[in-house]
Amino acid sequence: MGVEMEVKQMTNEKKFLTIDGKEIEFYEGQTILEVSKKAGIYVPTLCYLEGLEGYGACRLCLCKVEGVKKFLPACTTPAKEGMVVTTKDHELQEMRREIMKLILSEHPHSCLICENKDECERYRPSLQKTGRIFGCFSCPNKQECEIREIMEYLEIEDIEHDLYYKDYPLKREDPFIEKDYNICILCGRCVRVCNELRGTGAINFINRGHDTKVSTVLGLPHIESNCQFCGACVDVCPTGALSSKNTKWTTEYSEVKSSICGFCSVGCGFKYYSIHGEIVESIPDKTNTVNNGQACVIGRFCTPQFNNGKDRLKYPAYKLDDKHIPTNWSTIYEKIVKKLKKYNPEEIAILASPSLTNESAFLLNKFAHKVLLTNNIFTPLEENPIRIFYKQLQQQLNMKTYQRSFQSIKDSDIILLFNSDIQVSHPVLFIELNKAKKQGAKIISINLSKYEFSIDTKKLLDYDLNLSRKEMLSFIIAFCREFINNFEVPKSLISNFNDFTSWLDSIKPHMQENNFKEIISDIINALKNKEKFKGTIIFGLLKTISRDFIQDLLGSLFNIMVLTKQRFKILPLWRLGNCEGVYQNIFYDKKKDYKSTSQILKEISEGKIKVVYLTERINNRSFLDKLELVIIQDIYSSDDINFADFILPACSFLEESGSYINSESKLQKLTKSADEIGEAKPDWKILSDLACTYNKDMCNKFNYTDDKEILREIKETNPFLTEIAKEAKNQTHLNNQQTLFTFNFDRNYIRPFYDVFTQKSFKFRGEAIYKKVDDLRYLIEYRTEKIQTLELDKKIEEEPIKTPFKVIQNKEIAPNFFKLTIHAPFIAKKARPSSFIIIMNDEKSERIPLTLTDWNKNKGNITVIYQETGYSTRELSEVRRGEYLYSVVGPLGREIELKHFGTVLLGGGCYGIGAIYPIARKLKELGNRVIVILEARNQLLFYFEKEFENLADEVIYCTSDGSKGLKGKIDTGIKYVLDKGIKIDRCHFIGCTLMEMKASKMTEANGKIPTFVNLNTIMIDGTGMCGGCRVTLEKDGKEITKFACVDGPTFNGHLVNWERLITRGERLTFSESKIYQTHTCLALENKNNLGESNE
Amino acid sequence: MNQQYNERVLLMCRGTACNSMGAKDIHSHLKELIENSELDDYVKIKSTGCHGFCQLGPTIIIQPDNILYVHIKMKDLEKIIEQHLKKNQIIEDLLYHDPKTGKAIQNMDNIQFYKEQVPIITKNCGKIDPEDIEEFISIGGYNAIKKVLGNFSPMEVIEEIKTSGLRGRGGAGFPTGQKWLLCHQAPGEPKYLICNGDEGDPGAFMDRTILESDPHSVIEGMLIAAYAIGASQGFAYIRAEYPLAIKRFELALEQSEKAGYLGENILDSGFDFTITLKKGAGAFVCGEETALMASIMGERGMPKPKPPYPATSGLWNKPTNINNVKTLATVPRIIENGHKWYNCIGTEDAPGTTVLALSGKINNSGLVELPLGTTIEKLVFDIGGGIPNEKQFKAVQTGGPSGGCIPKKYLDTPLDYKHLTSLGSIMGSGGCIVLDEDTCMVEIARYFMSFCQKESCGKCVPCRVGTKRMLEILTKITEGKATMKDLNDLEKLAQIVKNTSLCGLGQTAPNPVLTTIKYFRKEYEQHIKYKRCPALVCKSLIEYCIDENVCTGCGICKETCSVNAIQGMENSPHTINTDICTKCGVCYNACPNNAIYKKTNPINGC
Repeated sequence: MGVEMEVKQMTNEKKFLTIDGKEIEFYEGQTILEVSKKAGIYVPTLCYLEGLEGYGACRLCLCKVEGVKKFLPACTTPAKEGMVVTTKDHELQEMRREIMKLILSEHPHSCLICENKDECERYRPSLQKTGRIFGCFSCPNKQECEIREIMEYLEIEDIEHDLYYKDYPLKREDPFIEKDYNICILCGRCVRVCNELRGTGAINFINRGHDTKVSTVLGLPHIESNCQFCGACVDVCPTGALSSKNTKWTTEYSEVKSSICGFCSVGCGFKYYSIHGEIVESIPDKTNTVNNGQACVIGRFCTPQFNNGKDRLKYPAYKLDDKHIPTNWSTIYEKIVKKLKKYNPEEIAILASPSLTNESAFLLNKFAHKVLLTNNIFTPLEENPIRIFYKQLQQQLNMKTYQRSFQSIKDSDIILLFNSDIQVSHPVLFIELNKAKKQGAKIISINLSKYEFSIDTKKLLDYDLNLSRKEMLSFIIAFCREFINNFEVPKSLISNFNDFTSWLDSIKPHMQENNFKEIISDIINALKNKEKFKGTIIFGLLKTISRDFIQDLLGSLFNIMVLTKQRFKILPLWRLGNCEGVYQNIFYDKKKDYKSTSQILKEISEGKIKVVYLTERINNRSFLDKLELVIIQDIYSSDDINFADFILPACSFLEESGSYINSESKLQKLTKSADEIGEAKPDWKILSDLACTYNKDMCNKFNYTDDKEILREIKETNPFLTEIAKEAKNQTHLNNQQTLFTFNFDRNYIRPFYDVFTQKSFKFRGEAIYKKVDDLRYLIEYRTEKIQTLELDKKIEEEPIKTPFKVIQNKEIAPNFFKLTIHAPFIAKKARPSSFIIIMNDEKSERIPLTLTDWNKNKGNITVIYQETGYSTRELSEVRRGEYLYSVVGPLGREIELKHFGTVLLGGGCYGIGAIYPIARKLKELGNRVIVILEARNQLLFYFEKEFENLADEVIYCTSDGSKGLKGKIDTGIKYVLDKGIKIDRCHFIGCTLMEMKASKMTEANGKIPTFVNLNTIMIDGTGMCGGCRVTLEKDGKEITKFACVDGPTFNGHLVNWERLITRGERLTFSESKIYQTHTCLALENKNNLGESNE
Repeated sequence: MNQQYNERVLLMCRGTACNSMGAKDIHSHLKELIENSELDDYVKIKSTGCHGFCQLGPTIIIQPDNILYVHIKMKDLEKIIEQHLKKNQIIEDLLYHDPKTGKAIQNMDNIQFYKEQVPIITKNCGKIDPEDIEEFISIGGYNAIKKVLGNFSPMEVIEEIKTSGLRGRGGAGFPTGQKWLLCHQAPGEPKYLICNGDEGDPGAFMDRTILESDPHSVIEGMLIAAYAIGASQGFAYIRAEYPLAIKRFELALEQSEKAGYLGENILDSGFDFTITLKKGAGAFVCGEETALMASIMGERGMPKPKPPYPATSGLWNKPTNINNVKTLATVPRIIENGHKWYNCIGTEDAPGTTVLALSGKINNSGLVELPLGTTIEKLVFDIGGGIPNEKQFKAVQTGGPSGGCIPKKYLDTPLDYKHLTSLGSIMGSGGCIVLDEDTCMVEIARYFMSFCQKESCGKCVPCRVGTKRMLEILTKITEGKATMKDLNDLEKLAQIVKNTSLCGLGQTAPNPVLTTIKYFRKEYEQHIKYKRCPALVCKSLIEYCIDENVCTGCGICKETCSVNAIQGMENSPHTINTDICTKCGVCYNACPNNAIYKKTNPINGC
């Protein structure tokens, strides 16, 4: 295949075009953009996406082509011989600037053009987890922003257009993905990747003109659409419109490692992002040729949660009186060895997990043979098909292995899917299937009994056959028959060709054979029309099927491979991470007589085997109860781990280095991407330590410093690994003597153990992934059982929490800003300007301190303005009118001195606009001249404008983007007032720490005007006990410690040590960034407590 | 003894416009009356397509007298039978009256509206029954395809069309022969042919009329085109808002298939061709060829950048040729009469005729077919009969909502691609809207911009966002809130949108704005500087007042006002409270004495 491709390119004569004066070579079919990119010429673009057809929507890549009047988009214009292209000149740049300004007129841009942006980013004390994104500070794409890059490239400093805010509701109802289409620039990447590449088509554009937006059908939540939650749309979004719920607001990653996902046998490449050694994000690796930057829901969204689960095993432990006592490693080794030595080798069995690395599996085998001297090593049923596959390959084709690759799917003309639903079992490979279909491949699915495919798969299938086992075999027989009749077969290479044909003749055409006649002749015709056809037979394991049937099926499939001179190739798809690697590393020694899994299980139930060493969990209690000693080496704890006598905490594939072998038989390297959890160790390390403890003589045989040494040893001893290490180069085994497979067609197969592979079947070390990842569980259960969120809501409504704090109103008055009115008569009676309250939404929620904005003694109502800025305020924003809050404490805070000062300057930003209002009102009542400066990023974020304009003597607006009033921050406003020559007697500022700091420094520098600020520190109890709100004041060179909750919140702005305050504010950042990952859904938990059916 | 009568044929217009005025009932009633009278053997009544003079519907043409009766009502039918058909007396009242002279015109050929027209595309329109293939064949229909299949190779057909100089009548005016040649030469099989009948321009109804009145000519044109490019499958894309056109086209397809003009081995020539009718869902942008193709393929109707052109990669990435209804309807005429004949009509640069839909402030609105190169003056004043109510001509907007406005001083401009483009307008699909002195040019620009903005597909930035920003500025101007900087921004933005948009929709959307700024800049400036709307249209800038000297105090205005803004005692002059007045204009129209007038700020701003 590779050779042919090269030839194709060679025959293409060399062609040249000129871009920006440079002569550049290109191939037919390349666009100007592709050629430029390759030549290192930068052309800005926002809608172009590598791997997809050009789109031409953002118009940023417009170029000039000599002889063409119009400007042409580089991303869609095919390169032509002799073309003369200009990609950059004054006119084009000017045009791009204007287009970019149009794009930014509908995307928050205050942070991009704000003069204070660097300072603002540096001093921002904590993450801004606002729902609606109103600037870079709250954008999930902040760290890698393509828009900012282009802004800088085009040197845009100002945007004349007013920001147009679309005011779409936030979409947060889905698992994994959050959407804020207010900042979407409609580049169409998500739509195209979903439709063209993934073949899902869950989203598309709706509406026309300016109202165009991205949506699912009828605007339904994604969970009710076709969406597979693969995350491809999130990964390509150049804005933060689509974001991963779990990692929307992570702080900056401290490390990125490229490694392999170990959840299934595709082995996708991923980039794992970690903070302080803890995985926080997994993003598919674009450079990896297995998945080319694509992923599935599990790899993309579930990795961090699964890996950081709270039930991970952290310490080695032994059982004492039915309790597990944690201990250290050396103690546990000795305890284990002491127990193990009591048993004969044949009484001990070892279970090898298919999720082990090659190195660990190899050592496990070595440990069994060399240390425990037992041959009882087995794997969960998974190894059967692999064992048969390699046996048949050796017998029929005389080959140890052959080159097979996922890429070959898309280059095939015919694809036969045997017992596989790729979209469920290997979602990433579905893309290849989709590509194949686009290139005109015929796809035929042959499945055991009834199987319902998803709509996406159905769209791709030319034929969907649901057959019995006999019918499936007779389909292959019929195909072989037809093939022999129509094509030249290399008889000379086949040792038993005549036997085979007579065997074929002996089998009476099965009743069903007539039903496939049409399909088979269709395939044969398609083959005839292609001079060099390529076929792929995908052998899947959608269901667990009996051993003898697999033998006959695989044998027959290999017959096709033999007859067609390997133009049809079998691509087996195993299920779990390192199935093949574990099999190859344990059963490579063909001389040894291994017992089958069922044999071992039988011996356990007969009591012949008394001890098992498990490397993953067995869910079948009936076997475990028979055992005398159980040692478990695993990563997860669970309720039924009680049976284990010894627990050895192991590492997940993210925490160790080593290697896996995927379904392509490709050796893939794992990189250690995260720190071990607790005391956990890599499996090979545990095994070698244990071996050394068991038998001091073994120390030198198990003396490895790292996994590379083991791999070296594997390559020396294991012929298979040697074979694949050569990467199966120059494999033309066509000259080998080959054999065709015959079998007893009339035999009856044992009824298969019926087990359909579903999303629930994804496991790592025996632990189902969905059980540890709430969102995945929600997704699966929602779709299979259709539990409606409404039902969950109902439950809550049935038992309302009866507290005195009824919510009168909770309304979004500006993006992210909510006005909350609560009935709290006692607080209303005692409220004073600058008082604050602490709210708890429910009994488990965080305590939120909020400054009072208004109160009504007669009605007994109090009002606060809050910004949705984190997890708790987000919860609060979802409280509806008529519901009750768990608790409201207040009024808190020291009373501030308010009297007739003369002229008072007040400043408010964000929530401070509301908080400063009662102070302004009181000061005005006392006869002061009140000047108010209101600060926001954009005019849309102002509220209470009317109230202030009616109250104050002068209101000055400052916006970062100049959309209202002065362009700038609070200091611009203060300067404006001072420049007017107004004498200020007193100042009071409320806003973010940066704003208060700036204002205080400004008034200090301008004649030390008495200045007060309300500090918004971390606050927990509000009684001065916890110390969270500590503030350091500096007076006359002395440091004074105060607590904002009892001594404040108002302080003299000139005395505050701002640097320290900001550092304290940053403390919560990391734990706050992880709250979605660690949070468990109460509703789901309750549901499961009611009784969850075990698998 | 039966009396002898003259044999006559009544051509009853059954186009959409006349139907909506009651032509269906009139037709059946008339038929009944004739069948029940002794005229039965002498008079035949035929339902035809449009007669072109839609403003005057329902219309009947009586042949061979060549008399046009207009505005026919039920009660007139008896008269027609008794007086005209039986007694050969012409009914003066039903004749067309010249708007200038007020005289009734007897012979249809003497009507200015018809006199100047050169019907080539619309040759059969209004003359044959579109629901009967036999009639079409009887007047020489399908002769052109017979001629082609018998004598021409595909290349010869292309050569013939090429030398005829026919240019696409959809708007852009690309040489049709050249287009066919590109598709003919493009590698790839199969090839497709599309007839673009997605006429989305407001006020345009040329394609509808042709499809309704003469569907077989379009089918014949498609056959010839398909033969030339080597296509065996064709699509006719007609907007769903044209139910009658769809019905008649479907019927025509059925009939021509039965007659052997469609299907396999047409006329024993070995040439196969089928046509599938696709209904458009009413998106303006789907008239753009790549969007139309996306729509046919079941995708969202969004345009794609060109190149690659449809000729090399169109439907399902196969070579595709797409022509407008009018272009295809012209093709059989050229084949029949030869390219030399066609060359003689129109201008050297653009031979042939074009069909225009004349509407707006004009006496004779309707459908006209003229040789290219006819001047605007002739169109408006001779054929159109000038402006009603003795108002002044202000401008004409050509080419649909994205065409430019051409002012009075360019009245002598010939209507063709080159000249219109040089004035900043376009030929477009053929819409012509005449504007009189009561039209505010800023408001008209705002109106067309709001149309284009709403109809943008939303794909490319300049069209989706740029037009919205332009609309915002235009709205500001009409509300008197804009500054001169806004006008500059508007011009700059218009230029950007024009230069950078993906498809024709965005590229032409700024035309009304650019041309009105160019030719009527003063009007913009008055709106901005003096908050003044000289045409008294922009609501925010005008006030309704009552002239004390004229008002009789009848109180009618007071009664009509829904917000009680008018005060005044009976029989004494009334006044309007401008604080309450919503400027709905009801009183203005209600006043029997024309005492209510509109006023705007004076030029000096005081």
